[in-house]
Amino acid sequence: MDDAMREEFRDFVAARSPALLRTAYLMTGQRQDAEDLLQTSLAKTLVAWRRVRSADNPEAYVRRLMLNTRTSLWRRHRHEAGPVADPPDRPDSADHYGDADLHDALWAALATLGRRQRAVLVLRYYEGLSEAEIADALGVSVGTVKSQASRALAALRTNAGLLDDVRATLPLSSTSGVTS
Amino acid sequence: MSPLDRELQRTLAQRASSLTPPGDLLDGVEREARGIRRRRNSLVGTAALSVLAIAIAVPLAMRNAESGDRDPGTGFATAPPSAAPSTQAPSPATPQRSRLQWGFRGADSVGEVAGRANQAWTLDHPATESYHPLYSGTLPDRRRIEVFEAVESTRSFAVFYVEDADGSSGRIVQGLEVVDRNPQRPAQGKQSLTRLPQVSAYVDGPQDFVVIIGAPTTGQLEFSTDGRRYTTVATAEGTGIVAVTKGEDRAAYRVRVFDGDGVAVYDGPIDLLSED
Repeated sequence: MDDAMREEFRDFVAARSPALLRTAYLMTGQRQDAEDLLQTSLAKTLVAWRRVRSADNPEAYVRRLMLNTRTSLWRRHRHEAGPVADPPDRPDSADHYGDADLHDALWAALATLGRRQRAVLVLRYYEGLSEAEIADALGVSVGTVKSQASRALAALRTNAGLLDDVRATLPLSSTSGVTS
Repeated sequence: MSPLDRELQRTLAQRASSLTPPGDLLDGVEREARGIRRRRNSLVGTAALSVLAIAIAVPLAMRNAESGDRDPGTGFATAPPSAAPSTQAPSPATPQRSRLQWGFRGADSVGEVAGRANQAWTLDHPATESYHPLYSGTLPDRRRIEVFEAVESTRSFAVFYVEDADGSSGRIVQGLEVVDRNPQRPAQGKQSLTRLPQVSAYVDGPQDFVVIIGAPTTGQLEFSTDGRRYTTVATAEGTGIVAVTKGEDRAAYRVRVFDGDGVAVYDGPIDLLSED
């Protein structure tokens, strides 16, 4: 790899790593895991940069790597304890009227999902990808994406006990439809 | 959008926005990239010695490397059983170059799995001089699959290895010779071999799959169980895994490969010969 390509890669990392880290964090639930995941995925991208740079969307390539690498990381650490959500780095001042409790409950419920289910929800609700785009990113069929999303949402609704607790104590009309 | 959808969206956005930007990642990234390159290079010729006395008979499919020349009726031939198992590991001193030169795609190649895969192949093919990982991934039923190129001095194979999720047992399910066997159309070195559009294998087990590894130039893969109705295969980096039903006529399976410009570069059967 020549200096120009290396510089190009560095520019790519500088520009896109904050967004990619956010996605990694939502998929892993842990800041440290997210940084490890991103670093590994970017390292793989660097190895293949000669080919990746000519692709339409190098960021999509990295994201796909993160999804695959995530599975590998999980296998490597499968004997460790289950996911425990990190607290956010700083409180969100815009969070008020008990939304924080609701979001904490949802965040905790997300941590109970399987990796692929969680990835589907992150890609759908955070990245805003279509089902076809998610299928492409995960290397599965659109039908699998639909079924995984459906199961994930059902699991979250099953965890509605958490949400019910919140709903019972706070005037959260917006959660009225969240039932199992 | 349901209330749950909205709250989920807000929760994810809030959590994401709460994250401080990463520090300087580049040093770690470049260090890890060097490690990846080292590990990949170390896979060359590192099959371990083995004293296993089990011969794994792997039928071989001889195929024409020219993408347009393949005859579904005669394009394959079963090679005679190869030499008896050997305890000789290939010499790492004179590694042969990959003839496919496809590079590696897929998830992390787990060194131990790749080593066992290479070793399983070496048992029956002691003349192997180098290994080049092509693909590493996990089947939907959690079995691990490794696809690699095994290169001998005068020929080369694309090899499919499958292992249980817990690593308790694994086997070679397919070995496809990728050299041109047509004496009228001798392989023109690297150029003709790199035009190979795909290698694929039928992988049986608790669930059955067809695993298709497209050439790096692959734009889209399609699969048909009957040669009439094709469905697009979800792919990652030109590779795809299709769940198939036990008992179907595998001879009727067809694969289509389109390059990045949408041009069909292969339309034919999967490589059917397998261990059973």
